[in-house]
This record gives sequence, structure tokens and C-alpha cells, in this order.
Amino acid sequence: MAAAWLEKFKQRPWFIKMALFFSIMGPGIITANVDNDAGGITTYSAAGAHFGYALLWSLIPITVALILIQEMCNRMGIVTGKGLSSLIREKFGVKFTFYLMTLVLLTNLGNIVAEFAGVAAAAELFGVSKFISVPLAAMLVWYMVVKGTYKSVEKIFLVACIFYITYLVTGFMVKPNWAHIGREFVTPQIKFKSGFLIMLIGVVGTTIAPWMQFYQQASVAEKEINIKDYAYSKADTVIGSISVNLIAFFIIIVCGTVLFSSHHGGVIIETAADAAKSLAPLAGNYAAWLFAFGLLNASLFAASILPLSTAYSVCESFGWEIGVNKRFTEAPQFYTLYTCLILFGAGLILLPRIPLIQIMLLSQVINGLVLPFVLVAMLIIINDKKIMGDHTNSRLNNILAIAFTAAISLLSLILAIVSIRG
Amino acid sequence: MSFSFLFFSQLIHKKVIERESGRTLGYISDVIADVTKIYPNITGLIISRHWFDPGQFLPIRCIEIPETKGPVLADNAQTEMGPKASLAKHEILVRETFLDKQIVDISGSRLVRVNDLHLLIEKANIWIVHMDVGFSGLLRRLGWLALYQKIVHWLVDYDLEDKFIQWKFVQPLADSNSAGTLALKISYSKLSNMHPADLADILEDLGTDERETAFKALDISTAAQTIEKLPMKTSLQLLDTLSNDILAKILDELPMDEAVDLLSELSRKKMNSVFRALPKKKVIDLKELLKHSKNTAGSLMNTEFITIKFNILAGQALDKIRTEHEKAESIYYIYVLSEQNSLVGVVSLRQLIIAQPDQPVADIMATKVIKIGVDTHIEKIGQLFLKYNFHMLPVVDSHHKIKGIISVRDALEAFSPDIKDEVEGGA
Repeated sequence: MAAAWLEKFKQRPWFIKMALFFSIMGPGIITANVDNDAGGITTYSAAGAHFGYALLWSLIPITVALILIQEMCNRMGIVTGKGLSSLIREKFGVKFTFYLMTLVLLTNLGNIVAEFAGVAAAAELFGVSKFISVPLAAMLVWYMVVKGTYKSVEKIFLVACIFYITYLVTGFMVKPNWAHIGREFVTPQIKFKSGFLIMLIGVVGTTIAPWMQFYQQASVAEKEINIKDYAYSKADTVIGSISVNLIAFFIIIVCGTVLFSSHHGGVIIETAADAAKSLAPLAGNYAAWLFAFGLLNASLFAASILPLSTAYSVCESFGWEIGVNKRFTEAPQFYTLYTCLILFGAGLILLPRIPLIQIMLLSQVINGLVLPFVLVAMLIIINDKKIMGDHTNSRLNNILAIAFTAAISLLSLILAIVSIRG
Repeated sequence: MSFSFLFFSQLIHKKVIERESGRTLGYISDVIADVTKIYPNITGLIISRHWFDPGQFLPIRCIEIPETKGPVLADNAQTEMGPKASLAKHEILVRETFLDKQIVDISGSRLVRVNDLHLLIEKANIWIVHMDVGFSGLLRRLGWLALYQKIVHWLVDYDLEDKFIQWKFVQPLADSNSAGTLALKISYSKLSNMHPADLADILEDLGTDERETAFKALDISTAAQTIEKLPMKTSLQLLDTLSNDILAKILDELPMDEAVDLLSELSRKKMNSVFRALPKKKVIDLKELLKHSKNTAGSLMNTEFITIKFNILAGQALDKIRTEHEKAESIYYIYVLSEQNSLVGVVSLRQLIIAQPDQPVADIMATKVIKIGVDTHIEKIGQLFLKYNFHMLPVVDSHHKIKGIISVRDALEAFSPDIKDEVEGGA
């Protein structure tokens, strides 16, 4: 199959290939980049600030795992034309789906709260009050999705991806020791200190999250890509997965260079805004501003996608009308859920004295608990000939996927336990 | 009591016990129904011992469904129960086809997911009469219905209404691998009762495989009308799966300009095999249209229109419209040709109807005809439409021979291709 695609790929002139790729690209790159949301940036910043370059190596296996998992969703979306929650409902019945979707809803809600917190923090770094920035962001997000079409929204999202370059720029601005980074990147190391392990699990958990599978599959299914053009769609996924980790790489480098010191363990980072604030005196205002702008962009971007993705997958599994191109009366559940998620996520941030860190922790725990179920369900579905026809997993794919699923499940479980015990 | 109702969720997964021995036979893992009757009639159960057990068949005549909770009782299981070879042409697996799956609600023209099935027990027969697609069905499956009703009743004195769809409005969907695909195809005729635009919306929301199966089950004329309403990408994907014969038949039904649009996107090989299956005359016309470069009048025009000679009478012209109207895209403007077949005038349907039947066409026609050359660029065409405010303009070659007509709609579509996809639901 792969060989046939490659043959076809070679026969076409390069400019047609490029045009085709640009028409197909989107779902993979967007999904992967939303992954670098407020939570992701916080985790990567903390990883750099607390442990320097020591965790850089972990990005290599994470990239491989991410490509593997997202490629499966991508394939399922193209072959079946259905979203993941729809397939899960049809394969595993209503009970499993209902409880799984409830958990997905909860963890996504936690993530949405985190995104609006990111917006608030980033805006405050620029001197804008959260009472202005958060309602504005909520309105912008709601309006864009409800009034836009899929095509126009996708274009906006693709532009948002480009702004991640700010992290690359900051990475070069702080003039790190590249030789040292190169060495750390290729030598895996594990320190058996609980802080290090939790951070490692945190990096894995924030990079591979359940909503990504639901979102990518749904948007691929929506795009109606022909299976004949699968090579392009696969490239979209691979490029996305690599780019998300490239950004993570640079965030870790920036914080590892500026904020980490081997003597006293570095600056303590609890939020991404902490990182930007700490950067200013050490690396200059420009670096801090670029970092803060990156955070604002990432949070806004993720805040637009997460509520949409959540409403989409929940409604799909229960058979309620979906779609931003339908009117409210045609898809009441969809719009209600979508609007409530935004209102709740943004509203919570405006309340005084909310236990933000605890909400994040809880969300991360549920995240960790849901992921293994999603991955196992995916593996069962993608190996079902009745559903996937000739496009089931190859043996190698299965072995790798099972190994990664086992490893990620174990790590997620450890994270959940550790988080609960505080 | 002659009849009673039962929900499918109260039957499926129930334990089955042999009446004589009290031995557990297994649990009901699926139910087989005959779809040729007015309602699907349950003919037997599949009884499995565990999750991976494909199960054994037990005819419905052997079992008795208790009115209270408790296991299903079976008689003569020893002799009657046995492996089921394969489904007959008119049989379906009920759980696999309906439960948790999407169906088309014909009366509401939408896709819904089945939460439960409503069964009617009448003497020895069990009929499937309704699909439960409502919230109460969902709660019943989750086992929370009673609790929910109690709370709601206590709070607001309001009972949750059942949301049922009658069987006659239910169109099950199947993919090429599902059991009983044959039986489902028989009943696909229900889809043809829907408006092609609604049908297109539903097809678009379907999974790839279900869409293909449903589309292939449509009759040619419905299929062609539906293709017209689908976004280009989806149309091409569907047409790609058809045999050349069927593809040719559908293209033959389509208006010329739509057919050309689709043809020009096909591979050369596919296009040639479609040409072999089409009538000769049609192929010549299509090839002529395909020759014109994109964004010129020649590639947008429709070649199905009505012309009359300048020397006939208004009554004769109306007769000609009556016999030829079917193949023409629009009959509002009738183009008038000279002895040498060049375009000399245009007359509207309104003028023809108002005129006396014995009035010569030459007397009532407008002689200053606004026309478009076959090589005119789309931009210029748009300007002409704006300037003269017609909704249809003729296309002529360099010898003033009429080659086709272009409607405002065609021009608009060519001007801004995205419009079409957005209107037709390309979200």
C-alpha cells in the first residue's frame, strides 16, 4: 500500500504535489500546535527551568509516539469518514461511551480553564487587566467559530501556527551553548528523584492528550480527504507532530539556558507567566515579550479549538446535530454545550481566589486516566476489518502502538496517583 | 391481553434458561428480524455464552418472554438450537444494524442515533415498530431513567416525553461489510422520497462507507439530482466508486455544464471509458464543451436550450417548447435563428404566451440580442450580466451560431467557486 502511494507521489510534478499538500494540510498541523497550549508551555518552561537540558532527550520518543497515535486517528478519520467518538459508540455501546465522554468533557473543561488563565496571564504581562482580556477573548473565540466557515477558521488557525516562531526567535536570542544541547539531546538520562520523574510524566502527559485524537479525527473526517491522497495527509500529521516538539525543544532551551542553574536548581516556575516574568531581568525585555506573546497566541488558539472539539465529540457520540454551519434551532445541544464551555471556562478565571493550580491538577489526573481507555479503544477499532477494511494496522504498527500505549498508560497512571497524593 | 410493548434494551443481554432443565443457555447477544413485512418481524435470537462466542440460533417460537423481570425461558432448546449458517436475503441482525447506530429519519430529513428500539409483542409475534432516538432512551440504556424521572417529577411535575420514529420513516444505513446488507438494500427506497437537497445534506454527514452504500442504492435520476447538490469533492469521491456504466448513466442525466465540470476532474482513462458508455451525440457535445479553456464562456455554458426559426408563428413556437422543454435548462428565453442558423433574435416565454397564436415570431422578437462569444472571459461575462440584468445569456461562435446558454447562477459559481461548496454544506 505504502509503496503504491510512493509511486504515485513520484509520478506527479512537484508543483501539483505542493498544491495538493496545501489543500489537505491543516488537521494534523493544527492539532499538534494546539497541543502547545498554556498547559504545555508551562510544563516545558518548568522542565527547562528546574532541570536544564536534562529532559530534552524525552522529546524524541514523545515525537515518535505522537506521530504513531495521531496517524492512527488520521487514518480512521479518512477511511471511515466518522469521528472517534462515533466509532467508539458504535463499537462499544452507550455505557462505555457515556462515561468516557463525561470524563473527556471534564478534563477538557479543565484545559479550557487553563487556556483562559493563559490569556489572562499573558495579557497582564502587557499591562492589560484580565477583566478586559478574558471576556474579549471569549467573545472572539465564540464569534469566530459560530460565524465563520470551516475553511476560514482553518486559515486563521494555520496563521496562528506561524506565530509559534516567536519561541524559535527567543531560543536564538538567549544564545545557548549548542554543543552542550546537542549532547544532552541524544543522551537519555533518568534521575530517580521524584521531582524529575513527575516532570518527565508531565511532559509526556501534556504532549499526548485525549482531546487531540478526537479533534484530529473529526477534522479529517470533516475535510473528506480521499484515501488516495493519504500520503499528503500523513505528511501533515508527521510535520505537525515534529513541529510541536520542536517548539517544546526551544521552550526548554530558553528556560534551561536562562532560568536554570546547576547550583541551586533554578527559578521555580508554576505558570507560564512566571517564566516570562523571570526571563525579563535575565534575558532582556524583548525575550520576555516574545515569550508572553507566544503564550497569548497559544492560549487563544487552544481556547478556540478545545470547546469546539469537545462539543463536537460529545454531540457526535449521542447523535445530536453538529456543526458550525447549522443554526441554533437545528443544533441546540451543540451550541448550548459549546457556549457553556466557553462561558464556564472564561467565567471561572474572573472569579476571585479560584484554586487554579488544584483545578489544573485535577484536570491532569482525569487526563491521565482517560488516555489509556482512548488508546486501547483506538487500537481495537483500528484492527477491526469490518471498520477499517484494507487499512487496518500493520504488525509493526501494532507492536509499536501497543508498547507506547502500555508505557503512556503506566506513566499516566503514576501521574494520577502522584497528583492525588499531592 | 392480546398485545404489549417492550423495549429492546429490556431484551438484549437477557439470560436465557431452558424451561425443562433450568439450565442456562447463555445470553441474548443479538436478534434476527425479517424486514420484508410491514414491520420488521423478529424470527429468532442469537444466544452467546460469553463475549467472544459467535453464538447459536434459537427460533422465536421456542421462547417465552416473561412479563416481569427475570430470564427468558426456552422450550425444546435441545433440538431447536443450533448454529446459524448465514443471514437470508431478507434478514438483518437487529442490534448490529440499529443499536447505537445512525439512521435516517425520513420525516425529519436528518440523521439520528438509535438509543433503543420499541417492540410490539402480539401473540407469538414480536414486531419492531419504533426507533427510540430520545433522551429517555439514552437514560434507559444507562439505567438511570427511573431515578431521573423520579427527580424530575418531584421537581417540576413533568414527564420526559419519548422521542420515537415510526418504522415507515426509518431508513437504516449499512456499510459494505455489515451483516444483512442485502436486506437493507431492499428497503433503501425510502431515501428516494426525500428532497435531493436534504438527501445531499445527509449523505455528506454520513461515514464514507455508508455514504457509498446508500448512494449506490439510489435510482439513477435521484442519484443525479443528489450529485448536483453535493460539493464537488464529495461528488467526485462517490463517482469514483461507481462502475463506468452507472457513472455514464448519471452523467447523462445531469445538465451539460454540471456533467462537464465533473468530467474535467476525472482521470483521462476514466473519462474515455465513460465516453464509450455514453450516447454518441452526447459525447460530441461534451467533448466540444471540454475543449474550451477554463473560465471562458465555452466551458461554463449549457448546451441544452430551445431554438426556433424566425419564420414560424407564436403558437408553433409554444408547441415546440412543449415537446422540447424536458431537455432544456431554461425555457424562459427562446432563441430565434435565421435561415442560415445564425442567432437573429430572442423572444421570452411571456411574449409568446401573450401574443396571438397566429402572430409571426419575427414580429414580437427582440432583435438586439446581447450575446457572449465562446472565448469571452468570465470577468467580462459577469460585467455583461450586471449591465443588462438578464438571468440568461446566449453564447455564440465567431459565425454567430448559438452554441449554448449561460445562467447567472453558472456565472456566479464560476466567479466564486467557494460559494457553491459553502451553500451546499461544505462546512
